[in-house]
Amino acid sequence: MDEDVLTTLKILIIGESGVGKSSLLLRFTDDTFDPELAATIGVDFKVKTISVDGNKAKLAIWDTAGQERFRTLTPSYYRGAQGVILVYDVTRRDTFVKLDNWLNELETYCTRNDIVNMLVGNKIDKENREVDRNEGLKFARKHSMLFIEASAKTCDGVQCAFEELVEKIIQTPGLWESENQNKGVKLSPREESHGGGACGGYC
Amino acid sequence: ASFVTEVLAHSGSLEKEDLGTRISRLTRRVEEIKGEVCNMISKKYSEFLPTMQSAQALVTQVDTLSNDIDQLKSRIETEVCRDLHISTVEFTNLKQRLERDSVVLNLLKQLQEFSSAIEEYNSALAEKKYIPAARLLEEAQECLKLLKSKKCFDLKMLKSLSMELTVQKQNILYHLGEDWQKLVVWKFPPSKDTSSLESCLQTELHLCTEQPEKEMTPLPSISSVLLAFSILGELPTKLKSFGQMLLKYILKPLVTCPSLHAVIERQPNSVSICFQSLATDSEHPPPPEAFAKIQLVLEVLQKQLLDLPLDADLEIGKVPEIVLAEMLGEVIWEDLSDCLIRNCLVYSIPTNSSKLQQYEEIIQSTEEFEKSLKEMRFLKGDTTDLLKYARNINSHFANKKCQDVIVAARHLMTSEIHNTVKIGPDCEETLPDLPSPDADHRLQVQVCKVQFTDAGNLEPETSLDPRSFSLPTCRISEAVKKLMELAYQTLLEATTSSDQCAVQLFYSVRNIFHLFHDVVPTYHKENLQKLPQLAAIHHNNCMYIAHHLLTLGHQFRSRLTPILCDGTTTFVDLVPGFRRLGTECFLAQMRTQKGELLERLSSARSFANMDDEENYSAASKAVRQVLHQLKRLGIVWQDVLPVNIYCKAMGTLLNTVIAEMIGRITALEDISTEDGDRLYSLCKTVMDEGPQVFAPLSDENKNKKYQEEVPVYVSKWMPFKELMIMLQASLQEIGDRWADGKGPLATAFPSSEVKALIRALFQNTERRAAALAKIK
Repeated sequence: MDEDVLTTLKILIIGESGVGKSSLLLRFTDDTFDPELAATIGVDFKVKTISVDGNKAKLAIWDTAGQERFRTLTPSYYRGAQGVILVYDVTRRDTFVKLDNWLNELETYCTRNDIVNMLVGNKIDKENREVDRNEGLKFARKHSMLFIEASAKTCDGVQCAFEELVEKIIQTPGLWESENQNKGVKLSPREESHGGGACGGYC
Repeated sequence: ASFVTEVLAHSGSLEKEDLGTRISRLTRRVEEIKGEVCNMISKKYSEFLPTMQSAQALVTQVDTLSNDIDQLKSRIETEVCRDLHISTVEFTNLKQRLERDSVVLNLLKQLQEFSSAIEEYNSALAEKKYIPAARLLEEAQECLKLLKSKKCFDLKMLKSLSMELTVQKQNILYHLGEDWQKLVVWKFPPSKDTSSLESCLQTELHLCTEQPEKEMTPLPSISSVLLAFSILGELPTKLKSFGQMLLKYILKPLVTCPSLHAVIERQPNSVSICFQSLATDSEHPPPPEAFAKIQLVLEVLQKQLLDLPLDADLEIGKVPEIVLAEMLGEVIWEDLSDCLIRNCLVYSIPTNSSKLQQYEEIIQSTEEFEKSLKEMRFLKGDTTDLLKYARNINSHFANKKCQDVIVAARHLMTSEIHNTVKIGPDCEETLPDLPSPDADHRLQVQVCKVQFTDAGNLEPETSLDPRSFSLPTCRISEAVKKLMELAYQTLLEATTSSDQCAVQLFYSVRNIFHLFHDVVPTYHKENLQKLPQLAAIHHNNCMYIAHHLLTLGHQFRSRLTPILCDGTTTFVDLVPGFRRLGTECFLAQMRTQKGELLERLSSARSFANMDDEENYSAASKAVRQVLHQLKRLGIVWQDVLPVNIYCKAMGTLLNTVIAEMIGRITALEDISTEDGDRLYSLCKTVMDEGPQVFAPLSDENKNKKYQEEVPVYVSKWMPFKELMIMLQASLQEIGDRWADGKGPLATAFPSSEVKALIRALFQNTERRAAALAKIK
């Protein structure tokens, strides 16, 4: 089944502790939900093949620990990431406020600047919402991010989040093509300029 | 003719007229001359010649006479001179004889004097009249000296005489000594040990003041004995031995034993000094008390022993004035003052500067003591040893204080490290209350604050943790905590001390830390190398000290004497040294532990051929040993090291183990399925039990957090996890973990190692080749 896979994409899930990063991943990969899921220690990893617009992509998804105490480990995971899912909890404003910190960290450790970011407001099934959808949207626009609200519990928006992210990555050819060509073959100057153009188009 | 022509020429005619007259005149003239010549001739021959003849006869007579005289003279000379010489020699001889005779007479007289002196002396001695006896003996000695000065005297006799004199002198000295011992009676304790109180109590000194009437042979008075000694020139030696006894048996015990008191017992004919013990709780007598005791004894001696002879002596007035007290004083004073200083004044020096004022009393009593000794003439006018010592109190105080501080510090440094106390921001600080900084200082701060609030809130929104600068909770040696308290107290003391003292105290505190630097690693060297827990405590100790040294100087800066306020009152320069001291010790311990871990792992035989039962058991034993060692370390460091250091240290050691295992396993060329399973189970043991060694806190429930954080402290944790997955994974799973170089396997291992592992784990098949092809 690997043969028809277009590319392998490295996706990173980041965000404050307890916003539901692991739950989103579990819902996406295994379609399960555990309300008592333990906090992630260090990092978790899952592989899932996804089909978007007829293109198959294999996702190597890194689920990082949100707790401050594991923060020293995360920088190394950013290397080579093509997409980042930044998660906050719509019922906890503090997780939304801290997004700036995460963006800052992302910018610091990311090895490339055309990486695709997706902002996910999780737990929309809960009633005590503290962050309005528009606020999230505004924040995402401000930082040129994709945006979606989701619920790992009710399955709302989860699949969509990943699909949209992958779609966007694939639409950004330099982001994955150049990487594929990077392996073994030297880049010609023409292709390099092509990559630069793609970046401009995305922005 | 010319005369005639002239006359004719000049006279002319006139002269012709006168010619007649002139001829007549001429004739007259010739007549006159004729007479004269006749006269002359007759005179010459008739008068002169006879006179001439008689004169010649006389000359001849004189010649013979003088010849006679000459002869007589020579005869006299030869004969009289010879006789004179002979008589002179004779006279000289006579004179010499006279002289010799008078010398002999003189000598005989001397001898007679000598003999009578000896005789009289003998009788005087028999009657125990020592003073005349001594004088006579001295006279005899004078005689002998005179005799000796006459060289011509018979030596043999001199010898025997001087021998006799010596014998007599010894004789009188013996008698004097005998009587002296009867007059001044010492009673000593049976045991030789003079230091114990009991033996001191048995010491007594009796002084006879009057003749015991009943005795057959009355004793001479002390004064006569002493005077006789003085005449004989033996007084200094006698007094010296007496003075030394006095020092050894009476004065020194009085100074050293606070409970000992001298008791003076006056009997009709004697005075005795003995001791009694009064209970006291002080270890060393206060100086005024010691002074009083000594003064009492010396007063008695002065009155009974030393004062008496002088009056009698002065009446006779022949011996130069000797002050016995002065002589005795010369003998004992140096030792006595030394003893007083060392046993009494030294301990009276206060240990606290606040008591320094009260010391004025002691200075005064010292002054009075010396004054009274001078009045009793024990001391000469210019001696002020004690007073000088007492007046120098400030320097003694500083010296003593500093010495005490250093001794106390050294004692703390050499005490056991493992007696620990917990310290940290939550723990009660038992350091002395430090006076708050200057009021002015605080005022300024307040003013500043007011200005800030006026200008708007400039405080940062997020403030630092109030404990950001605190030392983390850990255990340190109790002794080190005390050491730090000692440093604070000493510096506090310095703030209220005199300049010189403050400087000395300040540098003593610095010396404490220098001393720590040198003493502790040396003194505890073996234990610090051998025992990981001690190494950890020592590490904490050093960090604790360094932590305090950062602010120690600053805390006291404004309150120390201005001399010290030139920027040198700091301890900050010692901080890096202390940190290094702590880390070096702990790192050395870490290296030791690491070496041990690797050595244990080396018995695992490279983890090869695990399907061999023996190899497997060796490997599993090695792994269990390593985990056991780590667990043990985790326990001895628990609650001791600060949590972050604990985790770092344990993490580093666990990482060493894991890295070694990864290295060994990835180097294997062939891993059978059974090998893989067994390797997996070995790794699983480490994976399961490894985190459990992280137990920084004694409360077991709180340690879970740190056990979860193992990946943070053990850098090879994730690679190890990947390795374990690989040992049991299918090719497909390995491929997923690799994920085009984007999976965790790719972060954990380079592609070459992953490929090598795949080749070791799997048979050479097409599927393997395909999988290998994906690992780029």
